[in-house]
Amino acid sequence: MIMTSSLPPSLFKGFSAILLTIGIAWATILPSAAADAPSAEDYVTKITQDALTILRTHQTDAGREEAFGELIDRTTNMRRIARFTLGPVARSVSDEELARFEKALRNNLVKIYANRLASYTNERVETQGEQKKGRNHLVASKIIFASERPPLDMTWWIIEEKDGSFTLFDIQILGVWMAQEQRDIFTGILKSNNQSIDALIAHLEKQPTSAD
Amino acid sequence: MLKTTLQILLPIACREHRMSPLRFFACFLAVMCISKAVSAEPIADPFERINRVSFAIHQTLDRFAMRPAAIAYRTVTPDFVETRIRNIFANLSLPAAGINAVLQGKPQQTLTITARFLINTTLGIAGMFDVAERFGLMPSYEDTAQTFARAGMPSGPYLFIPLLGPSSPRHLLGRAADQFMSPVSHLQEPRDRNPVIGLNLLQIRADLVEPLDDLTASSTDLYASMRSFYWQNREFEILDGETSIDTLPDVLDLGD
Repeated sequence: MIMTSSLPPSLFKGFSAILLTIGIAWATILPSAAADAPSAEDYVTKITQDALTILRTHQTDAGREEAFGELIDRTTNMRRIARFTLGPVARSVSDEELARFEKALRNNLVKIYANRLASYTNERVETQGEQKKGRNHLVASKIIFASERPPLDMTWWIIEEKDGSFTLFDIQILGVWMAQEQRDIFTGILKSNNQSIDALIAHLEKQPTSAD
Repeated sequence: MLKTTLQILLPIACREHRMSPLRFFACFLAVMCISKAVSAEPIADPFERINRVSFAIHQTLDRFAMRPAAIAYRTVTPDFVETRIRNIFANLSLPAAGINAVLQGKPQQTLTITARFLINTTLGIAGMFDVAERFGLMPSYEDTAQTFARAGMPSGPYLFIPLLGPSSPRHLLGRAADQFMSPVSHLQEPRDRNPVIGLNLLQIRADLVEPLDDLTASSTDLYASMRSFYWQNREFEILDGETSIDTLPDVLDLGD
C-alpha cells in the first residue's frame, strides 16, 4: 500500500500526492540502466527526460505550451485516449466530431500540464521495472521528492503499437488513473447534455486552463 | 460461493452459540483469512443531484471558512511544527490501523504497525518524530472500511457530505469505527477533545491548499473529478495498492 507517512490516509491525502506527482513525473527522471533493446521502461525514461529539457529551456508559458504540445503529440496516441475518455459515445460519433473532440482534449491537456509543471524541477523519478502482457506494458516508477516527503509509487501504462513503437496511454498515482478520471467527468457532462459531443467540446474549449 | 456463505453464516453461528468475544474474534479472523479476493466496484452515484447540492454547500463553506482558516494557520505555523503535528496524528491513527490489520489477517503488517506505534510513541516523543522509519519500519495503513470491504460488504452508493467530503455508507461506518478506536475520541471533556480534532482537520486542509486550488482551476467538472479520485483511490487502497496488468480494460483497438 502506498502511503504518505505524515498524513492520515484519506481522499484528501490522495489529492495532494496525485496532483503534485503528476507534475513531478513529467518533470524529471533518473536514468534507468541502459539496455540494448529499447523497452517500455526506456521509453518512460525518454519521455521524462524530454519533459525536463522542455521545462529547463522554455521560460515562457507560450513556449512551454508549444514544446509540451509537441511532446504529447510525439508520445501519445491521442485518438485512443479520446475514444477511451468518451466511453460508449465514441462508437456513435462521426470522424469529424471525433477529430474535433480529440483536438479540444489535446489542447486542454497541454494547457493544464505545461503551466502547472513549471515549478517542478527538483524532484526525480526512478523507473523500477515493468509488467508486460500482449501489447500492454505497465512501468513502475517511484517519485523521489526533494523535501523530506516519503517517495510515492507511480505507474505508467505504455502501449506497443502495431508498428512496434510505444505510446503513453495513461498514468496512475495512488490508484487514480488520469484517463479514467477524464472519462468519469466526460460521462457526466455527456449525460447532462443529452449525449451531445458538441456540448462536451464547448465545455473543454471554455475551460480556464491557463495558469496565468 | 462457499466464502460468501461462510462470511454471512459464521458470525451468526458464533452469536447463536453464545461464544465468548475471544472465540467470536477467532471466528472473525477465520472469515477474514478467506476474504482475499476483492474486486473493484464501479462508481454508483444514484443520489448525484443531492450530492451536488451537498458539494456546493461544502465548497461555499470551504471558500469562506475552511480555506482562509487553513491559510492563516499555515502562515503562523512554522514548517517544523506542522510536520510534528502531522506525525502525531498519523501516530494516533495506528491503533485502529493495527486492529484492522489483524482483522484482515495480515500478520506482517500488524507487527509493523504495532512496532511503529510503540517506537514512535516512546522514542519519537508521542509520535512527533518518525523514528520507526529509520529502523526500516515504513508507514502502512489499514482502516475499518477496508476491513469491511475485504469481508465482502459492498460500498453502497457514493455520498458527498458537507465538511466530511466524499464517502459511501461502508466508508462512513468504517470512519465511525476508526473514530471509536482513536485515542482522541476517548478524551472525556469536549473542551479537550474538540480542539484536538479541529487541529487535525486544519492541518489536513492546510496541506491541500495548492492541490485543491489546482484541481479547482483545471477540472472541467470538479464534483466529478473528486468523485473519480475518491472512488479510484479507495478501491486501490482496498486492493492493497496492487495494480495488475490483468485487470486493465481493453483499449488496444481504440487507437487504430
